[in-house]
Amino acid sequence: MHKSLLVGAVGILVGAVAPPIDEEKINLNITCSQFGPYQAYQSDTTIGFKYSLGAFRDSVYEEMRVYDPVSNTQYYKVTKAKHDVGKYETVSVNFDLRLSGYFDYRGLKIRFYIYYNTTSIYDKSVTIYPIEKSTVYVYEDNVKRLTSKNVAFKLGSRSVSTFYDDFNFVNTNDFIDADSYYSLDLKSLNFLYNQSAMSYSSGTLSVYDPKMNLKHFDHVEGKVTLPIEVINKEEVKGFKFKDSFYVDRLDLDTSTRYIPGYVLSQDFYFPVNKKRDFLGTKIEIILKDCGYNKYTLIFRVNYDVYRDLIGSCNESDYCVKGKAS
Amino acid sequence: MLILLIGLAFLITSFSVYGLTYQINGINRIVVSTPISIFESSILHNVEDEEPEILFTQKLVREKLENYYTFELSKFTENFHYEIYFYNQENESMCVMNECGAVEVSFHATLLFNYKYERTLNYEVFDNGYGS
Repeated sequence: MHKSLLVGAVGILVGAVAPPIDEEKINLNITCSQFGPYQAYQSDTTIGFKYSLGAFRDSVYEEMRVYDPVSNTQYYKVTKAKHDVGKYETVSVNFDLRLSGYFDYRGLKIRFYIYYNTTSIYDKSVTIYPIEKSTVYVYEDNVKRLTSKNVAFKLGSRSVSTFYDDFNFVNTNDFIDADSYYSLDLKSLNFLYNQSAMSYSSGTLSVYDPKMNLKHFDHVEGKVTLPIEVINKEEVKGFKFKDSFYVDRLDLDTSTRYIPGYVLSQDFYFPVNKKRDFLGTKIEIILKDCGYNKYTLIFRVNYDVYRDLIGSCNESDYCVKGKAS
Repeated sequence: MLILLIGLAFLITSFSVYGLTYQINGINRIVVSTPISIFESSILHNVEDEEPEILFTQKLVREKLENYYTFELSKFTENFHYEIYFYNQENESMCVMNECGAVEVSFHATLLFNYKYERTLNYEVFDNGYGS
């Protein structure tokens, strides 16, 4: 008698605290866009996502809790009102994320819940940090790897995707290695980034030319600055010139403006017979607002060249040999 | 009197030989020392090609040689001519393109005493094999 009563009471208690959930029927599907990156103490924003369930449920509600990730102290929580959700009905949820009051260098831990009755059918947390916009001198600061913390995220049905920057300069040359003095070939300069597309606002390449050999270009403080683009298809990022050039085929005089007799080229050329002036010259590449953190990346490299294209047979790729008879 | 005539003939011959030697030396110096830079600066770079060929441009070589010989040789003779023959280095066949890898300059001049001066010059683009 006592034993059967005890078993019955335990059964009632278990049923009340944790009603069984049929995962197949729940079939939670969440869609949302990327949230972040955010700056520290920036203005408050709204986080919105949509979800649907595989079966009708009543007494469903959503909740967001925001914590200090270091001490795990809860800053605040937002709980939505209970409502019914029809089978495959799309539910839109918006939470106010109070960045202005809480978002500093320590970051924020954000936890999302969806409850059915009192049972959580979705429980995901993510910690994000403000962007650390800064200028990075890749070679001067000997930066081999530049990895940021999570700065953005995206909610998924089964997991939370996080986004961060990871630049790898381990194999990036600190010189432009040209076999022969001819065109400015940027192929030997590249770096790795952890995503196929890297956002940036602008890129420039400056060539130091104190002797004004590049006569068709504007010189500012002894250097010529040209716009460049990042080759942004693979994780290996390279550079190319943004604009086309007009080149004199005879002396490789290069210009960005059309000059009669000059031919169109995608490459930038150094003028012939000026190897001594450009040997070891500084070339500076500046990429602004790179990645989520909007880093400014500065690459200062030397133009190292070994041979002339045409000249003496000892020091050139090609030479003219003559004989008399 | 005879001695005087012989002396005069000797003097005239000496001056003539000196004049001929002067002409030959001057012309030879100009022809044999035709500056390599004339040919180096007659190369139009094929900037659009991935691996450009380095070739002489016929028109430029002709213009530059004409200027050089006309200006330099005028001090020694006006009576000269030359032929320019462009050829392919591989088989020495005639090059009919605008740009060629080799050129032969056959130089002729008629000097004092109908002396015939002849020289043949060959200039070729040489690939040093660095892979460019």
